[in-house]
Amino acid sequence: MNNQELLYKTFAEALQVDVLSISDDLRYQSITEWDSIAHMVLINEIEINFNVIIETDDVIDMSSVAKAKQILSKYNINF
Amino acid sequence: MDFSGKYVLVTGASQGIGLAIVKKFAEHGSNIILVSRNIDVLNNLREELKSKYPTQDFYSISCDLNILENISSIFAEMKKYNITTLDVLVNNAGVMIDSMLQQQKLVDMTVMFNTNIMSTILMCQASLRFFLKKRKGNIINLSSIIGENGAIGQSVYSASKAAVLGFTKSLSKELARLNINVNSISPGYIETSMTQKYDQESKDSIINNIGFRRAGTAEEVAEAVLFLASEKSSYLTGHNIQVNGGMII
Repeated sequence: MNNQELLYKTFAEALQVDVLSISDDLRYQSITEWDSIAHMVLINEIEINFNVIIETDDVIDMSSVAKAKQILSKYNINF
Repeated sequence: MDFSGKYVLVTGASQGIGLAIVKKFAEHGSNIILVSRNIDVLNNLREELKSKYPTQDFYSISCDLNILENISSIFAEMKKYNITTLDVLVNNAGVMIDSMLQQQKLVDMTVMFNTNIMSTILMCQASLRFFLKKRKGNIINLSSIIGENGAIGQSVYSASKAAVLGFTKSLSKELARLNINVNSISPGYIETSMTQKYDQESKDSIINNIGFRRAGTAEEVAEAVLFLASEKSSYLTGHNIQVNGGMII
């Protein structure tokens, strides 16, 4: 599984939606499943699956799947 | 109540109510992460517990919670010890520096706010990682009867402990959907080193206002903590248990 697949899978599991509904365009609070509570779970799952500790500013900044990729690249996770 | 295999972190673990909480969890099978400023006392306690409960794990971590930047070092040390899970967080560490407001020094106000509420907030924030992973967790914050009722010479202490109550209620709402319980305990007049400084006249005056006409013990507070950490209180969150012998009803 490459990083893109792992990220989509992480989003799908954290938000409890089908992985096919995940795309780079998906934005925070654009679906009911991605609310502030689910965001906490999502960050935690990303940290576990990619073995990183995400800074608080980046937690706040992670407003879409595309943005998540951009932020993770700062932690040497490449897509 | 069986806490075998559970990991419990207690701040302010070296004395008073914190020590009683540690002993209570140890009796019930927990592995315990002991946090306090006083590493010598903590190391002795760890050895004592280890010899009494050889199948359980005990870790001592030195941290002055007044220095907020140090809090992350607790979790770094846990990682060093290969502790990858946490079931219960007990934010017990507290500081009380009595003074009329006019004479209260800023440095003392800061110590009370950092230790009593800011460290509680940061400990909860850092522990979330463990609880979110399991979608389960238990946070118990120690407030005080003074945080609810106030007292002369304790306006700042009271403010810091009242903040614990507001924080606990809000956090319980944030985390309920994730199956994380967040509750608080407000001890009343408890015989500890914190209350030993009162003169006999003051003690008598306080005790006359307690329904049971006696001070509480640290063990009685620890029993309430154990209850909140157990499955027996699984449907309880955002609640504050007053352990005060009928001082406030």
